Amino acid sequence: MRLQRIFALEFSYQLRRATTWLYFGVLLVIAFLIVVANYASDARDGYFLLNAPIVIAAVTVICSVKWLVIGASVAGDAAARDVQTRMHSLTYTAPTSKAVYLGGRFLAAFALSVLLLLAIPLGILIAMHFSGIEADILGPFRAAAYLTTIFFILLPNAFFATALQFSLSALSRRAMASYLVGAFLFVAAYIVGQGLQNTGQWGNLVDPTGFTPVLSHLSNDWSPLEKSTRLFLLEGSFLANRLLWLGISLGVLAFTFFRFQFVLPEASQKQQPVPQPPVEAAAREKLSWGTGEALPPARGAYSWATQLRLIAWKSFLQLAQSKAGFPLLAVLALMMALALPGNLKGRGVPLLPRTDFVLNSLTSSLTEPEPFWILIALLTIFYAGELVWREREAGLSDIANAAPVPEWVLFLSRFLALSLIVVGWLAFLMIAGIAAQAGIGGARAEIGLYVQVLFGLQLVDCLLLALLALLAHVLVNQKYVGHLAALLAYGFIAFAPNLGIEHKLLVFGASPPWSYTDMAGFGSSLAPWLWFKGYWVAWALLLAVAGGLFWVRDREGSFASRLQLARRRFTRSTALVAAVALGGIFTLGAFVFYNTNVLHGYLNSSEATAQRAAYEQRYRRYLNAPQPLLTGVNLQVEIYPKQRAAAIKGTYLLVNNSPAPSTRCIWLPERAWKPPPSALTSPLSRFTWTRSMATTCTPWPGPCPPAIRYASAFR
Amino acid sequence: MGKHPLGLTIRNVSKKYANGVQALNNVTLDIPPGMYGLLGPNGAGKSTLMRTLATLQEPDGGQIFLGDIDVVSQKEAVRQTLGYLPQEFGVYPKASAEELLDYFAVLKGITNRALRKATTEALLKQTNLWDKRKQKLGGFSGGMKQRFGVAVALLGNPRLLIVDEPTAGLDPAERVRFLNLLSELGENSVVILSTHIVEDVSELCTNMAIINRGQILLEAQPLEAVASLNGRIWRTLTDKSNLPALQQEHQIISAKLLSGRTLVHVYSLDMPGNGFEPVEPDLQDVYFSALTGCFGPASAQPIVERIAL
Repeated sequence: MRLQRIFALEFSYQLRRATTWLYFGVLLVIAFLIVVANYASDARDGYFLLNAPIVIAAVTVICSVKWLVIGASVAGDAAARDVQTRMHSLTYTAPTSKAVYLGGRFLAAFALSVLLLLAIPLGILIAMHFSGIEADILGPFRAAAYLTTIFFILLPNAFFATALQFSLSALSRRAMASYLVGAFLFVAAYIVGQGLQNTGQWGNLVDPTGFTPVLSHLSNDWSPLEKSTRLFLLEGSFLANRLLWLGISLGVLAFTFFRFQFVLPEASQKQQPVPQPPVEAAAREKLSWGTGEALPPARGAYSWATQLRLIAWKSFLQLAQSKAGFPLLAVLALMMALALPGNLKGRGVPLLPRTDFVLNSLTSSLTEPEPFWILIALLTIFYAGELVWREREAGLSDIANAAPVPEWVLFLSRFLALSLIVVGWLAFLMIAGIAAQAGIGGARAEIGLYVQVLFGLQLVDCLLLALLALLAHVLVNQKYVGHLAALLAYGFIAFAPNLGIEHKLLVFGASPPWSYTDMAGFGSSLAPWLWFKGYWVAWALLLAVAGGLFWVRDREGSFASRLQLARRRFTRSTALVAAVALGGIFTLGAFVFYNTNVLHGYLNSSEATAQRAAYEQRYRRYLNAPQPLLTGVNLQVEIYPKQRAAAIKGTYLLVNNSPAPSTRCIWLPERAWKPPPSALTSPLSRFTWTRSMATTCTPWPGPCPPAIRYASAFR
Repeated sequence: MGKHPLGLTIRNVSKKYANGVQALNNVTLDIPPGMYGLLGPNGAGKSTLMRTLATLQEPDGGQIFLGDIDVVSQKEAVRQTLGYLPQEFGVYPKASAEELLDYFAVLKGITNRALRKATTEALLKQTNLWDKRKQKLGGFSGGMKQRFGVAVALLGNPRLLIVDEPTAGLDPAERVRFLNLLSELGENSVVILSTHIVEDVSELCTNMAIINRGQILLEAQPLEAVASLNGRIWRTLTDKSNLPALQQEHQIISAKLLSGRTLVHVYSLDMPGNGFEPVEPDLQDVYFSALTGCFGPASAQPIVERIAL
């Protein structure tokens, strides 16, 4: 009876919250998009039927992995809300047994998780049957495909994740612990599982979500027929995986049950004894009634630079010293160092750990994140939330907000604190790289290059994301929704091309990649990178202005009052900074646009596909036309890398084996030099081809002009 | 600047919350330098008024001036001279008192390191926390935490000090020390003390207002208000069962149990009848008279007409 009541209260409480439905909606949309934007095109290419069981399973596991982070607050809240709202002194003292209290809360969290995850099959169903997907890539509807997915993948995933998230939150009494567990399971599924894919069944066992086996079936394990028809059942290593994680989850729940105590959080931790003054002295403490000396006359000097520096430094220290701060980052860097020997491979062959190879492996751009960097992005978002919310959560905000600190100093100090954390992470990464190089041996660590790449190039990407995450938290003004908003913004950055937004001027922080080789250095890859990043830094400045304007200082959260406040804060100097930012956006953006679209004919991927299709349509009719054979090539090529130019001079020998003399010749690219008419008539022709090419390939993004594509057809 | 004590002027301030609660209804007050008591029951709108004065909330309408600073639009200027001790506040449990006070000193703009050190040291001594300065705030008792809040509020020698129910968690000795500290500060600043404890006001404040349901019921000087009730408060001891009948006949302002019987205070211009005896009024009687409507809005004069009915 009590269990039911506890369950019902928790379930209905979270069900009434907008965030729960927001998570539901986000999962539904992600599932829908994965079907429509990703698997539909594969199905059209004939790899499988779109509603094949394994595809449904694949969409489910991909969404489950994302849910680990998105929906983590459900379990965390159920486990730790009482302590965080300080209601625990009422609930803990009520005559309710531990089993009923924890059981009711856990079951409610589990039910809510299942509810959230059911958004995935719902999204799949909508995508399959109501989004206008053509019928010929769909097989007949099979309820079994959905049911096996729900019972073998979805329910177990919900149970495992909720059990672990709930347990850690209940024991640590912090809802955020749930996110930490979510992130670790995410790593286990997405990084460790995938990393161990080629080492027997270990990857399948380690992965708590079934992500690894499902995707490997879909990519190469199963035959095309199996992919379209076979049900994904509990068998083999997948069964072992479910049993293993069931055991772990039950074990952790049992441990939580025995370890959890209805005591105040402060009392349950061992505290270092504070030296107390001797008792007699305390008892005879002198009661001084007067206030003694007059109040200190100190009045503020209001140097905002000092305020900025000191607030940033204190916020940074608090964050860095917490367990999820530098200790966690150091562990992550260590893991990267350990994984480095495995990653340093070119086509399966181990590479010498040269600094440029190591750096290539350690860094990652914002738009094309490596799995490890996704984790860093998640942590950045988490840190941003902590920095924005710490004072309010500690209850200090009323005092702090009444202090004479301008809003922009408050915002900028948080950004500086986060920047220092990022710098710390990059320093850990540098140590990890150097240590790995020393461990593998055979190459010298180039400290200068490390500093240039990590603290020059990678840092910019990290800081852009940091600013975006902070702004999301400031604007949204609800911590978990802020996490979600920042996560979605990041997801948009990472998956923008899949959503059809390709131009790098439209995706926050995007730029063409830099490249470094021992021979050419950064070469010409750096200039466009810098122009693009300059453009995004100007945007970041504008976002920072918005962050200052909308920084939350009072109790009221209504949009109208915040807008009114922002208008009041929009002083002349703020306007000036905003104008500078806008000017930067327009001039840098215009320059980039001129280079990408005007000078170098920008094509998006569908235009490029159309161009390829036109090419095929145009020349396919010559496929079986009699052709002379190219039997000999003699080229003299001079490459001038500094000028990005090459001079080519060569002789081609063509043999016409067909009985009739050729009358026509088509050369591609068409603008290229054509052979003399005389060459077409004789059965054996030899001619010389000379061409000097200047700046053939632009460093700006866009289509690379076809390399010297050569094709010919005689008729 | 800073030579002349500045008064606080509040004109027609209203505030309605999104859930429909009218927290402040056309509040107009003149608060001179010195200690000013704001009395009212829980939920009367005291904290809303305090937060509005402390620049943490926007009023829907009305004006607030500290001297010639517009509190609503010149928040930054107000904050530079503001000390605020909210009704409820938390601390970083793992920071020490000295560390966190130093942080707040930075926030308050005391950026000079030596000056900051001297200020925090003086305040920690003044609030009797000097011996505990290295101790983690998480281990502080309620009173110690409250004293820490006082130290924070006093940072930077504010000319406008707003303290919201500050004595609630203090033991008697601490309370006296704290009130002494406040009076000392009240010599040249505006100190607004919001409380539901009548003694805090009667002992200290030269001016006061009584607020209920967002409206100012009375604005007066405590001594004058008490004096104006002279001869109008009567008391009697009665049984609980007689209370409803008594309520019909008289203006009862308070009734409290006293060793099994009920002690009733009644407002009346003349002797209400048998069994009643006159009482020397105190501020508590003023408070209850105002709440029950015997005192006119914003005046220390009793409403004769209404009582005569």
